[in-house]
Amino acid sequence: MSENSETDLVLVHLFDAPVGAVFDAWTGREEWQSWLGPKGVHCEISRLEARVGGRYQLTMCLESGKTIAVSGEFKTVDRPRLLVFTWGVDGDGALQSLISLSFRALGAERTELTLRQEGLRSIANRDAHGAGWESAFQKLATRLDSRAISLAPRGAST
Amino acid sequence: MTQLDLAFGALADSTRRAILVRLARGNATVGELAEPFKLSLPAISRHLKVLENAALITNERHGKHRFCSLRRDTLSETSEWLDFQRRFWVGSLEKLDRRLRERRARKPS
Repeated sequence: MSENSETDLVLVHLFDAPVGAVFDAWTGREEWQSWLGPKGVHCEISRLEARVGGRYQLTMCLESGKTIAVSGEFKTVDRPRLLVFTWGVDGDGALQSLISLSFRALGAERTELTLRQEGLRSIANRDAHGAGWESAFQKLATRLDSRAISLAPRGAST
Repeated sequence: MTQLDLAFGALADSTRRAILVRLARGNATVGELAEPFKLSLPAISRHLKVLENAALITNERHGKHRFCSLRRDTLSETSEWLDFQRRFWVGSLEKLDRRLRERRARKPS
């Protein structure tokens, strides 16, 4: 039995664009770099070979000034249906994952993209480090409180 | 359901949070954990199962006793890494969405 599904990240997003354009946004260096990363994170892509066995290398630049080097290998490049590549933090064997992108045309100008990131669970196998866990627990507890608030019965306020 | 969802679910109970705080001081047997909470062994076992499923503790038999210990790795690393990845990709897809819209707006139709 696979337990990985517990920690898979699955996102489904609809785009008002042709499936080919959504696919190509991932396979051109400048194109990918123009949007990769959430608000406050800029990615510098130094290498991108979007073919099976090809590699990419990028640096995430966070607002804090911290940088994270990420690289991986393309496993499947099947335009415009499927794109699979590994995604890992350089130098950290534990922070490795596999990203699968499925593209589905819902119309000439409408595309459904499903992003699945798996393999994240392996990080739970890392040795425990005493330092740092207390603050993580505090953070978790704080977020738990904020979640509890957001889960308060909505009907009650009407 | 993500690991983080399981962890949040497990932590949404004061008894289970207290068990984790107790285990932060050191490993304990199931009996030792049950004692301060005035809970029956089956009741405490149910709580421990939830924590174990969420990978927040391990519960292993050594001889006659079962010992519980905290999985600090899950608490710290899983939540931070998963959270970062989710924020990263959600934010990226939103940016891609905007970029594709801009491109369409520029293109004469």
